[in-house]
Amino acid sequence: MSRRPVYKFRLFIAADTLNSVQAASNLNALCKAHLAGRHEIEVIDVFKDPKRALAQGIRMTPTLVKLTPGPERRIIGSLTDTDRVMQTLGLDADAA
Amino acid sequence: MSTASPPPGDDGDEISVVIRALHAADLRLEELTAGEVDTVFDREGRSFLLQRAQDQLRATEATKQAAILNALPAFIAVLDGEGRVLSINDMWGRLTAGNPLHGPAYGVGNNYLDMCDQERGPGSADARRAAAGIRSVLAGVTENFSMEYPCALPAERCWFLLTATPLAHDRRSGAVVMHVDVTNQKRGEIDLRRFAAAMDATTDALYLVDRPSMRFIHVNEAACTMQSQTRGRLLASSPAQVLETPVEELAEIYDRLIDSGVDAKPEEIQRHHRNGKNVWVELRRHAQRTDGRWTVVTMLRDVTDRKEAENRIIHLNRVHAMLSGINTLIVRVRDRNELFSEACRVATDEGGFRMIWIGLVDQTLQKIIPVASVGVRDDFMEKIRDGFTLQEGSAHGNTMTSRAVREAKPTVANNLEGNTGVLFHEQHFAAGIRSMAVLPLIIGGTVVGVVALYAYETEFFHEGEMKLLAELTGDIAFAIDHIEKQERLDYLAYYDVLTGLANRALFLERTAQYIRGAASGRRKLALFLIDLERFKNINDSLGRPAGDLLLKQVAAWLTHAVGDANLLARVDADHFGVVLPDIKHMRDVMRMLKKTMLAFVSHPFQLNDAVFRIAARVGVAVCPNDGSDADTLFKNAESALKKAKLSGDRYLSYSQNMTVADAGRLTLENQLRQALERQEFVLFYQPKVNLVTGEVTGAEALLRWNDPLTGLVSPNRIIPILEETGMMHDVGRWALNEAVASHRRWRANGLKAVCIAVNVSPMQLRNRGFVAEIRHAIADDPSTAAGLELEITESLIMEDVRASINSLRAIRELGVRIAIDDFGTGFSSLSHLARLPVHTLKIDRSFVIDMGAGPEGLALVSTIINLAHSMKLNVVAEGVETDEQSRLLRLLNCDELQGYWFGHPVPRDVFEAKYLSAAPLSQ
Repeated sequence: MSRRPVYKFRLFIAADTLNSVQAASNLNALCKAHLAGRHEIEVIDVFKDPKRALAQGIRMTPTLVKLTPGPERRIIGSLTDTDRVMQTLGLDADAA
Repeated sequence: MSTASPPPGDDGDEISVVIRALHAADLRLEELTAGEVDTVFDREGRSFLLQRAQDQLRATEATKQAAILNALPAFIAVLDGEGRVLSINDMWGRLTAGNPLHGPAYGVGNNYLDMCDQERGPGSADARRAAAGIRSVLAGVTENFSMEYPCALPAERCWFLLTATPLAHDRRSGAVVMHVDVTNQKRGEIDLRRFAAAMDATTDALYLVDRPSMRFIHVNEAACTMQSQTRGRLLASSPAQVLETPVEELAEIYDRLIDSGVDAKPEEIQRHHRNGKNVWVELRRHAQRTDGRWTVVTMLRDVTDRKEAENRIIHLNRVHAMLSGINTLIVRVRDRNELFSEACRVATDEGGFRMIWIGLVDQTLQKIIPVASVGVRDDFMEKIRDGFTLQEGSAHGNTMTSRAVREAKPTVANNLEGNTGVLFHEQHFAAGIRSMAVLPLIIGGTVVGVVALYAYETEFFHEGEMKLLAELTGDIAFAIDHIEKQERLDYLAYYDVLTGLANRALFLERTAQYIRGAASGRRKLALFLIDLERFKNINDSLGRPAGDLLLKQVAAWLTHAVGDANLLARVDADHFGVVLPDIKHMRDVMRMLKKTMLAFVSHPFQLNDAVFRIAARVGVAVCPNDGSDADTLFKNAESALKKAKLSGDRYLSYSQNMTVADAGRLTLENQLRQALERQEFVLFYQPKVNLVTGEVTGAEALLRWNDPLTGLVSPNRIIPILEETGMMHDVGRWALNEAVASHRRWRANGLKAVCIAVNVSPMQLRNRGFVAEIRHAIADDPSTAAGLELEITESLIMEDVRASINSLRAIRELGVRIAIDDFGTGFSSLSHLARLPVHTLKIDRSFVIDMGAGPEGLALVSTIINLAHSMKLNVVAEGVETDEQSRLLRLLNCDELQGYWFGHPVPRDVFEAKYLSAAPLSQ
């Protein structure tokens, strides 16, 4: 029986802007639904920590980065289209 | 705004171009990101916030900030670096009456600091202090600033807390100024401080215990002092330990208190203080509910002073009550022992003492002898009964008691617990005794005794009590002295100093007492008064000292004889009194008296080296016969004594029931005893005459007592006494010998030796040695035997005929004649009469008297004479007193006669001269 992988996310936002708040909310809902007990989310406000955004090459907010399991994937936007997000992150197969 | 920027207006066209380009770019970015993105970055990290996000963000921030500021219960303003008001919350804009530091006047755009500096009025000082503080924050000198300031309102005083906080830490961008109404908190603090100060101001120790945790939450200063601890240490310690109650018990007490809903009644308890003294504490408890938790307030008040004062009053009252009781006693009591035992009773009843004993000092033994006590345990009494030795260095020589006597000062032990200086302190302590005092009884500077008092309480004997007790012992000592003096006076009033016997007054008093006793016991009582004869002569001739000496000796002799000095008294100069309180038969008493008096008269009293024998006379009175009260009895005894002196009797009884004759008879008996010794008895001779010849043919010897005082005493008086007392043996023998001697004398002197008849008493006849006595008297001389006749009464012979016949035969064989005396009175049967070995028959005088009264009497005498003659008996008629009687008897052939008609009984010499010497007298 293989251990199921832990998903590590990094979400870059811009303070309380509408899309950023939306993205954070959608990510939380998605993790709760599909990755209960096996996810970690780090939220980075680019206004407070612009250097990290620059270092990661983030060009827009909100941007979600899936760090593990590899390969790294990025999704920009409010993460409203759940199917596309699942597909992009490779979660559709995993969650099935 | 940067100062380097060109002034607006100069590049107006360019600005419009840029804005247009910005809007276009923004629209393009929105298109590119499909509205999903808020910010974009270029490669250098420069960000661009999309217009829509910018607008949304600004609106959100402003709303959020306003909401936060308005939500806070404080007056808030944001100042810029210069102190200008940038924004305010809703509350700031509201008017707070009387507050000098915020309000509508301090609106946006005003310089808050300047306004504060310009403030005038009561709060100006606080306003300037606030401005200075805020300035230092804006200047970055201090991190933040806060101050409290009051706000005086007409009705109440409010308090505010002002805080100034920089907007950012790294630059002087401004500050947030906030005023919070802290009135309630401040009031709470003030209340708490006042409360604590008030608690500390009271001298009662207060402990606040939180019931759930059973920990102290507050203690006051007095509590710290009482426990001798700092507040910190005390708060940290356990209430159970501090309040000296196990924690479970304490919790239970608290719960009961909480449940009851009322304060517990104050209790007074005794506690041991750290300084070693016991303290009295009043304890109160009160439960209160604060913030949903129960707190129990325990208040301890040191009431030692009050309690001690109360106890002092109680103790003093008790001693006062005792003093009063004993003083009443002193007035009433006349007896020392009663004084002591009653004083002890008063001490325990009125004084409430646990125990008391009174001891007297025995100077010769150097001891204290207990004389009265109450509440003294047996074991202790056992120890002190033999007395405390007073000598220093001995086992009990240094006790409180001994010291009290030696130093003539009270000794006190106010706490017996562990007090090894007190004898039996452990036993006393176990018996509930806590303190004791020994007070000396001092009379005329000498300690005569001690009063030892034992109290239930510690610290009983203090100055006040000791002062009263000293007064009390002084009173008791006074009473002892008084009673002793009274006793001395009583002694003088009731005693004869010379002999130590009771005097007349006491004798009468005692007699009265004995009479009461005798009356209740239905017994008799006899009172004797003794008169010493010739006492006056002794006093006169030998001098008064000799007389006194004699009285003392007599008193001692009587005391010894009576056996109890209380029954004796010297009632007059030479008179003594004796009372015998319990007698049964008067005769026994008289016998005893007689015996005693005989012993008395023969006792050799020594006076001036010479021996004296003292005679005495006694007057007797008997209760109830001779009087039922002491005075009457005494008076009657005196009268009896007087009579005895007159009559010459040794003792006389004043008797109403007992005849004078009886009394005389006793005297007689006594005298008869001496009569024989003193040769006071004599024989009288009465002639018998032959009726035919007229010759004197015989004589009857008759006994007489020649009383030297009264002369001749009739044989009727003395014969029964001689018979009863047994003296007849001796007297009878004497008479027999005397008669024989007379007969011999007559023969020797050539006189007509007529036969002498001697009466024989029953006692003589029953005596086994009687025949031998007769033989001895006649000395086997036939002629003497023939001259002797024994007259025996008919009744005596008939008492025991058989024995009589034997004795009579033996007598007859000796040659002695026998006559039956008093014939006719003894109911003898003829058959007996015929067998009796007798010679003569004497007709009783009663027949001779009756003979003249009628024919029957004459016939009777005639018959007797004929009967006697038929039995060959000689007949003698007795009691012939008249001529007629003698003639009749001659006619009846009577042989002889005897009686006053012919001759009275006369002394021997007269008889010899009259009847024996010459020729027969003719009638």
